[in-house]
This record gives sequence, C-alpha cells and structure tokens, in this order.
Amino acid sequence: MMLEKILACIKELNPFGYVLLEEEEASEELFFLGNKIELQRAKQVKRHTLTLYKDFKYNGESFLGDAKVSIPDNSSTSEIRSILSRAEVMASYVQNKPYPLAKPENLVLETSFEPSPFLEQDLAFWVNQIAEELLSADLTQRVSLSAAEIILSRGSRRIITSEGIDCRFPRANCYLETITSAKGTGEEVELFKKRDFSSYKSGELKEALENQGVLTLHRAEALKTPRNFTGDVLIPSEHLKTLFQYYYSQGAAQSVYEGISGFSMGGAFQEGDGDKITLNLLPYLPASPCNQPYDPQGVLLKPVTLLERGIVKSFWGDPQYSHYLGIPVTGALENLEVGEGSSTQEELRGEPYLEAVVFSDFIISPQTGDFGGEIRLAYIKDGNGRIPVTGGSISGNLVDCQNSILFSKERVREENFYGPALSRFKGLTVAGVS
Amino acid sequence: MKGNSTFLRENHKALKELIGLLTERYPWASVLGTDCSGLNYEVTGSSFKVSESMWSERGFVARIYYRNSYFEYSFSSFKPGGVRGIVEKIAHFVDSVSSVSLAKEVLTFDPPAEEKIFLQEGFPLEEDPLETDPGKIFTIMKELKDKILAGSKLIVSAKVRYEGVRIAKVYISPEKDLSQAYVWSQCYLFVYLRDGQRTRRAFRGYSGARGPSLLMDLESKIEPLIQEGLSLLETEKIRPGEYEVILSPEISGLIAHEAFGHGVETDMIVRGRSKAGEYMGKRVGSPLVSMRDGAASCRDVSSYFFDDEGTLAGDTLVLDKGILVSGLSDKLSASLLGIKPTGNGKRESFERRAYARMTNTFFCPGESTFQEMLKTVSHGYLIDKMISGMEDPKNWGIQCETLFAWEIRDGRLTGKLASPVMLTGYIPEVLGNITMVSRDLELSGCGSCGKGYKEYVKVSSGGPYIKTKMRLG
Repeated sequence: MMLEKILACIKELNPFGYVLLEEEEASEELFFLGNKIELQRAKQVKRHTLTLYKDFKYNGESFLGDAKVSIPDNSSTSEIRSILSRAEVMASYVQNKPYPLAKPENLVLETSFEPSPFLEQDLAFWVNQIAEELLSADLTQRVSLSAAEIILSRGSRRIITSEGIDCRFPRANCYLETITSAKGTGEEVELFKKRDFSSYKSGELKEALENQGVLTLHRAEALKTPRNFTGDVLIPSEHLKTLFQYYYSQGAAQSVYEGISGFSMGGAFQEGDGDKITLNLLPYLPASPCNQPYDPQGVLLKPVTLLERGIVKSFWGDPQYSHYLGIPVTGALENLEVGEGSSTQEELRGEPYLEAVVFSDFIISPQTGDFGGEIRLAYIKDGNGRIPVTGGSISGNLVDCQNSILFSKERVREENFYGPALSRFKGLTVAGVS
Repeated sequence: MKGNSTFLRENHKALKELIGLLTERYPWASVLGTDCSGLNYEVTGSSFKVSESMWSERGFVARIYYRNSYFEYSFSSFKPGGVRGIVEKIAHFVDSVSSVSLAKEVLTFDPPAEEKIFLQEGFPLEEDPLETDPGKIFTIMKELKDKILAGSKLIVSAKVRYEGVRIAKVYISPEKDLSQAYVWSQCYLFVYLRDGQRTRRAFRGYSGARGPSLLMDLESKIEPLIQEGLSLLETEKIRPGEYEVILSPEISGLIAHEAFGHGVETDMIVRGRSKAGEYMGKRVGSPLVSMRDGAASCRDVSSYFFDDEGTLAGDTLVLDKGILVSGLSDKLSASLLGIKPTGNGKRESFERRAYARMTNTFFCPGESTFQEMLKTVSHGYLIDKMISGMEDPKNWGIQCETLFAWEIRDGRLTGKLASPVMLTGYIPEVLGNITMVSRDLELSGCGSCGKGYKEYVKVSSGGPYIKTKMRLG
C-alpha cells in the first residue's frame, strides 16, 4: 500500500512536521457533439501530496520552512525516499517565521449536511440520468444543442498529519457544459454555460437547458448595445459571485498581512446609501462542489462571518498567516453566503436599466477591484420596454461603486455561492457599439 | 536527454504488452504515458514557498477503437493486478458503456490509420529545474524581490514567482513507438502599490524552453516594472469608443490566439461552434496578415516532437496574406472532417481527454518599424500587457482585458495612461483594419490556455506590433 510506504519513509526521515493527503478519484465522462455521443471516458487515479516541515536556524534566527511535493502513484520506496529527501532540502531554504501547525479537533457534522447522492449507485447510472435529462429538453425549433460534456467524478480525501489529525471524507462533483445555438434574423449565435454541482433536483437540468435555449434565441434576435447608454446596470447572481472574489481576497489573512488588502478588523469599508454587505464563509452549502469538513492543511472548518453590514468582522486564514496576525485559524472555506438586500427584484427593475445576463467572460482583479466583461446578452429597459442587446462591454471598479450597490431580497444558489439574485450598480462604464 | 524518464523506460515493456492484449480484443488501441515534474517557487514580502507545479503528472491513458467509436481509460498505476488487471478494467468499462450507449446515438469514426514511426527525441537539457540547487534559485528571487520593494515608498508588497517543468512522454500504438523529453520555465515579477484606499498591481512575465537560467536576466526589468506600477496610480478613464490602436507583440499574440487560434481549432468547427469552417480558402483579413501555429514552428514553451495523440509536431500556416488556409486538428475532429491531423491534439494531463489546441501561435512579421507606425496615429492608444482574453469563435467576437493603454496624440506617446482597458471587436473587422505590421517577432508563453473554463494547456503566442482599429472601454 502506497500510504503505508510513504508513512514509513516519513518516519525514517523524522521531520519537524508533515501533512499527507491521499486522494482517490474515479470518473465517468460523456462528450456529446449535437445529440450524438462523440467520446466516452473513465478514470481511476490515486494521488498523494505531502507538505514537509523543517525547523532550522539561520544567522541566529529561527525559521519554519516547508515544501509541498506530489508522490506519484506506484512510486518505489527508493523513489519516495528521494522525493522526501529533496523536499527536506528545499524546505531548509524556506525562511518563514515559525508558526504552529493545525491541531486535531472533534468533527461535529452540521445537521443540514447532506452527502452527495453521486456517492451512491454506479457513476454510469448518474451520467445516464443526467444525459437523459439534457436530451429530453424541449428546445424551440430555432434552437439546438451544439455540444455537451458531462464529467462526473467522486472519490475521497484522507488527511494525516504529524499533529495527530487523521480524517477521511468523500467528495463528489459533476461538471456539466452545454452549448446551445440559435438562428434569428441574422447569423447563427451560441451561448455557453457551465456548472459544477454535487447534487441536483430531478428536472432542474432540463429546465436550465431550456432556459439557456430561450436566452440563446434572445441573443440571436438582439440589437447592438447602444453607445449612449448611461443608466444603472443590473447584475445577476451568476456574475455577482465573481465580484465577491474581491471581498474574499481582501479578507484573506495573507493579503492583510502583506498590506495588499485595505481591510482592517472592525473597519467600515462602505459609506453612502447602498445596501451594506454581509459575507459569511461556510463549510457546507447545499449542492455546492466545494463542500468539505476539513481544508487541505487539516483545519476543521466552521462558519465564519467575514463582513457584517459593511463592517469587517474577521479574516480567514491558514495556520501560518493567522499566527502572524494573531487571529484564530479558520482554514480555507470556499462557500460564500451573501446577505439579502433591501429591495425586491421587481423594485430593482422598476427604473430604466441595462441588465447584463451573459458575458463572454466576466472577470475581476481580486487585488484592485477592477472588473468587466464583453456583453453577449443584456436587456435594456427604457420607455420602449425590455429589449435584448448584444456586443460592447461593461467595466468598473468595485471600490468606486460599492457604496451605492443595491441587492435584491431574493437569494439564489450558484455553485459555491448563495446570495442576492439581482444587484443594481451605479457609475459603471458601458461601451456600446451602435 | 533521450528517454530521460526512468519511470517510463521501466514501464515501456508493460505498455507494449498492454497494447498487445488490447488489440487482441479490439480493432485498435494506443496508450500515452506521462512523467512530468515541476517546481513552483514563490518569494513575497513576507514569505517563501516551494511546491509541486500544477503541471506535474504521472500516469497513463489508453484509447480504444471499438464498434466504430472511441473510448478512453485513464489510470495512475498498473497495481494491483498488473497489465492484465488494467485490461480487464478497460474491458469492463468499454462493455458497460457501449451497451448503455446503444440506447443513444453515437458518432461513428473511420478506423484509425497511422504510419509506422519509431522516434526517441529530446531537446538538449542543459539545466534541469528539478536538479538545480533550490538555495541558488531562492537567493536570486529574494534579491529581485528586495529590489522591487526598495523601488518606492508606495510599494506595499512584491512577489517573484518561478516555475520550471520537466516533461517526458511516451506514445505506443501498433504502429508507433515514440518518446520525448524537454523543459520549460516561466517567471513573474509583481509589484503591489497602495495610495489611500486603492491598491494597484503591475507585473511582467518571462518564459522560454529553458531552465532556471531564465531568472538570470531579470534585474534590468525591475526599474521599468516599478515605473509601470507608479504610473498605474495616476490613470485616466478611457472614453468608450473605436480608436486607432497599436498592439504590442504580446497583445497581437493575444489577438492571434483568441481571435483566430480558437476559431480554427477543428473540434470547434465540427461542433458547429466556429465560423471559420465557412471561410476556409476565403479572405478574412488584410493582405498584410499571415499567421502560423505549430509545435515545430519555433522553439518555445509549446514546442514538442509529438502531440498527446502521437501525431508528429506540425508547422501550420493558418492565415496566408489574409486568406484562411488551414485549421488546427486533433485526431478525432480531423477524422470527422476527412483531413490530416496537424499535431495539435493536447491534453491537460493524462487524466483528461485530448482536444484540438494551439501550440506556438503568432502573426508573422511585416515591413514597418514601430516608430513609423506611431507617426501615423493622430489620436489612439498603444495597447500592452495582457490580463485575460476570451474567445467567441462562433460569432467572431473577441474580448481582451489589458493593463495598459498609453495615449498617442499626433504621432507621439503623451505619457497619459488608461488602465485597465477592455478591447472588444468583430474579428474580420479587426484583421481587415490592419494597415501596418512591424518587423519584430516576440513570443510569450506565460500562464495557460483553457478550452472555455477548463482543460488548461501550455501555449505561447506573439507577433509583431500591429496597427488596427478596435473598440476600447
């Protein structure tokens, strides 16, 4: 057994500390070209990742170095020894101030924690269920499915550390990619949608694909985004999720310690009349692909309130940077929950707006807050009703506009994000094309 | 450095046996074996880090041709059960899915046809990233980081990142027995500045088909990096609209990659996802524009001897003086289109499927100089430093985000800067509006290229300075 071989080699080396991850993963994958299967794949792999810690002194100063290496499956004992020895040498040059490693804690599973259904039955069963749902979607006459990918994987992660942590938990994820095309009055157009999830409700995927078909048709019939639009911009949850990467990054202990973040504990980061932001980090969100009880360093994950009504309440961090800042270790939580806003979606849509529904790619710089994307489909509402438009781009800076954002009361789930279904932004730049 | 992977050499016999046993059951089979290992070094204002590269992988992927279809099985070990055990697992998978999929429609492929080739190749390995003294690498990186931090009081942090990767692969089928090995490296310099509530970040990236010697030439790059960082504290908003632009070699490479590279990947064409299929042999750009792609078209981070499907490296002329003349193919899409694969079948790792992907993609040099181009611009921008790009090959749209747009007025750079800037456009217009192409040719291979939002592979892209018109926002 690889695990025993690796542990025996670690014992021989007797390092200051270690974190060993063993991951097993199996997948079944279906690739569609139109409605026909193009390729079928399966995977069965095992991975081992070791972080080796070494304490040492240099010029009279104490350091705790570490090196993270992978140990390929089926490595021989001599190969493992060689990899460990190289890791130890590398760690001896990593001059980081000492910090304590994660300690064991008793896991108390949240009562709401529901294991992924993908952990039961054969993978092939679920892949076929998902494929059947996609192929049964009722796309209108002018819309078709160009391509689809279903990659369903499951397995387990075991974490063993020198501090006595030994935990194992299952993991499951489905990656689903659908591309729909539609013919309107002009050229044929397409829309791309990808989603990761660890569970779904029967009929949900079919409905999502049918909705994608409707949006594709709207893109096919869209007018060019006008050059003179200067109103507010509505951004739905799918892209709001991207914008919250900025707050997640600003709240990271490392960003704060290195002075890249402007956040300070207890500090207010919003002024003005907009909705005040609340952001919680959670170990578990229904259907999220990021659910896990422990992070990869063996830190037991518990809910953390990062921001509360525009005030920085805490930071999140690993053992190293949490120790440097003198704050509790939270570990790396990957599920984000954003508090509700003050208006209904209907109220947010009450005034003229441009609602950006699909971008080519919507991106944000987690350090600066600059964000933007090219518009594949948006709707403009003015005195003439709600009209689909396409082309051009939207850009802005979150620091500049965070004081006036309005969020909807209604909240929805998007992969590892649960937050307002809709948000309204002032002062963004819309670069139209006609 | 021929056959430098002991692991792959030791498993060569088992892989031959695997192909022998599989072809007793199925009409055709192949296997790709990978042994790629790399290290990622990072030095910031507060810490040191060394970790395994995201490009490290070791394992196998078998491809089976059966009932006119293809099946694949990825595995990391022959244990337990040895070669026969893997054959049984593959057989179980193929039997189970081929019976289930009978209920669905399946694409059919012609039987694979390969030429008989034996090849053992490797680029000279003067410096192995894994064997280089880590103390030496950290010392150079720390000196670079300290120099950046000392550049201004407004600098709050700095980061230097180096990644070096050693690649070894074998491909075996009834007709082919191929092995190859090579290295590549990349390095980033980052500077973070704060002025009041605002954080700004500037960066420079360097890459090449070489080892840690890449780090040796970077000291002279620090002062320009700091100046760029400081200039980002005083930027102006650009007025959205269409402008005359000069694209730096890095950005012309980004345009080549996003605008045309993705659109001529033939798996996009067979999916009906690219307009390029309708334009083969037709004019799509100015006569000044030619474009190439190929693992054998130059020596950079995506230069190899054979791709992940065992097709030998190509050097493909994609655009010839504005005429679209060729796509970039993997084996499956080439088979469906009835064309020869071009050596562009690449996988993120042995764990993933192969797609048609770019390698080293670039616009070919022209005859102008940068200064000549500058003089012709009355009001426009010099665009430089890629942040990101996204393709839309179906509708020939393009989205690129860049860090710098330096204002040009009356043929001169004014020193005024807009940042960041979103470039959008309709590809035939962008390529058709090209009026000048410089004599330069620079390629850059930092970062990675995805297919949509996944399947990351190493590519390089570049070109000369190009003058055209684009929409900025």
